[in-house]
Amino acid sequence: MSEPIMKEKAISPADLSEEDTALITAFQVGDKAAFDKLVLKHKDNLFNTVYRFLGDYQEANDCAQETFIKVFKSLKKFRFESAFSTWLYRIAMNTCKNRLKSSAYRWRKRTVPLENPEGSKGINPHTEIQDDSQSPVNELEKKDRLELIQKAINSLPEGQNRVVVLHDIQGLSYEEIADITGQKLGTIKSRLARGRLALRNKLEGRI
Amino acid sequence: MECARIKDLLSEYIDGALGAQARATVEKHIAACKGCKEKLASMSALVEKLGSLEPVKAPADFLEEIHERLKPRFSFDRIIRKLFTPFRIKIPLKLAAAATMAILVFYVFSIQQADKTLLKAPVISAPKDIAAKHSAGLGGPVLKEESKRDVHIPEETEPKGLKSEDLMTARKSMTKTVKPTLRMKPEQLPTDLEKPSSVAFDRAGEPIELAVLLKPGVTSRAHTPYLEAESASQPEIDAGVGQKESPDTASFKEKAPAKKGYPAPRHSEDTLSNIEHITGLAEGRVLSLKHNRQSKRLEFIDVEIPAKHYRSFCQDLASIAELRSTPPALSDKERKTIQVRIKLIFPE
Repeated sequence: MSEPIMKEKAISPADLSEEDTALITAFQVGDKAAFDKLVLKHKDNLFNTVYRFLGDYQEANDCAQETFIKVFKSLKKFRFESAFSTWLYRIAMNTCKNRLKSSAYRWRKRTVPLENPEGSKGINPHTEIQDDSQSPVNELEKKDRLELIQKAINSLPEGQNRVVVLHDIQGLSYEEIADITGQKLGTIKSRLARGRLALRNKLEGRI
Repeated sequence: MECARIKDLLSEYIDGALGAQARATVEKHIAACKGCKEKLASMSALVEKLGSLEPVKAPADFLEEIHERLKPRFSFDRIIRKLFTPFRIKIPLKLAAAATMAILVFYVFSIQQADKTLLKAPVISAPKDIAAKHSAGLGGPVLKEESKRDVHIPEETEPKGLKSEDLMTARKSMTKTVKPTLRMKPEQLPTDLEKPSSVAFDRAGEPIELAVLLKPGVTSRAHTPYLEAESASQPEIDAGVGQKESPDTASFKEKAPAKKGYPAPRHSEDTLSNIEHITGLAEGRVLSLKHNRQSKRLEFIDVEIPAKHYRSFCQDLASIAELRSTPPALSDKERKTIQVRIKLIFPE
C-alpha cells in the first residue's frame, strides 16, 4: 500500500510574511529599494508559475513583468489583509487570464515565428534544464518529456490548469489556492482531482 | 460503483487530505482492486513528476527591464529633461531661444506700431466742400473758419525763439505724418495717387496737407514787398478764397497765373518761387500764405490745382523739397480741383 505523498512546499507565504511586511512598509514610507528586494525575492517563483500557466517563455517574461509593475503601482495601497504572496499570485492569475483572452496572444499562438519555426512555446534556450547524465540521448528524451508535460498542462481547462500548477508545481495548499482564486475548497479539490486524472490519461505510458 | 467513488478520493488520498475513515476506506478498496491500485500508482507518479519539475527562472535582467518599463514615457518631465539637461550644454540653447523670442516680439511690435501710424495719417483741417465751392465761385466764410482754426496753432506756441518754434512745428508735422524719417524721392511716390492706395487717403473736400522740409540755405522769408506788407498788417492769415481779394492774392495772380508755361523763377533756391513755379506748371494757383508772427517766417502755402495734376505736382514738390510724408491718395475721383496746404519745415 502506497503512502500518501506529503509534498514539501516550495514557498510558505506565512514564513515569508514578516520579511514581506517589513519590505512593504519600507516601500510605503518611500524606500524604493524595498520594491527591488521584493522583486528579487519573488521573481523566480512567480515566473515559474506564470510560465507553467502560459507555456511560453517570452509571454511569461512579459506577463511577470507586468505583474510586478501592477504591484509597484498598487503597493502603497496594500493593507495587509492577506499575505503578500497571495496578493502577488492573484494579480499574476488575473494578468495571465487577460493575456490568454487577448486577441494578440491568440494571434501569436496561431502564427509560427520565422526564427523559431517549431513554435514559440517551450523553454528558453538560456534556461534549459541541465541534465546530469550528460548523455545527448537522455538529454533529448528529458527535454521531450518536459515538453510533453507542459503541453498536457496547457491543454487542461483554465480552472484545472490553474489549480494543478499552484498545487502540484508551486506546492500551495488548498486554502492558499482558495484565497488566490476566490473559490471554495471543494471546488479546488474537485478541479485538482479532475485535472490530475486528465493529465494521467494524457501522459500515461509516455513519461 | 465502488471504484468510481474511490477514484474521486484518490487525489485527496495522495495529498493526505482525507479523514481517517475515508482514508481507511480507500486503502481497503485499493488492497482488493488492482485497477484502482494502478490508477493510484500512476497518479502518484504524475504528482511526483509535476512536483519535481525544474523551476524555470526569470531572466537575469528581469529587474532592470521592470525598471525600464516603470520609467515615465513621453511625459512632460522627460521632454523638459531632454531639452534642458545637462545644463552645461543646454543653457546656451536656452539663451539662444530667449534671444530669438525677444527679437521676434520686438519685430512684430514694431510692425504693429508702423501700421497704427499709417492708419492715423494724414490730418487735414478744412471744411468738406471748400474746393467745390471755390470752383463754383462761391467760397465765403468757409475758408475764413478754417483760417481761424489754422491761426490757433501758432498762437498756442510759446515764442521761445526761432529754434524752438521750428522744432515744435516739426514735431507737429511728425505726429501727422506716416513715417517721420521717411525721405521721399520723386521716383518713390505712389505710381497712381488718384487710385486708392494702402498708404493714406485725403478727406473728401478738405485741403490736402503736405509737410516739406526745406533744404539748408533756402529761406522762406517774404522777399517781395507785398508779402512783407501783408505780414505786418495781417499776421495770422493772409487771404481766403472767396473773400474780397486782398492785394496779396491779386499780386499772386498777377505773378503766378494758373497757366502752364509760367516762367521759372530767377532764384531757384527760393522755395516760394519754386512752389509758385510748380503750381503754375500744374495749372494751379497760390491761394494764400501764412506767416509766423514772431519769426516772420512763412509757414503755410495754400494752393489750388486741378486734381488731374496732383501727382505731377507732388513729384515736382518732392524735387524741390523733402516731403515728410507720403502724399495721400485722392478719395474723390470726381473732384476737378483740389486744395493743397504746404507746410514748411525749416532745417535746424
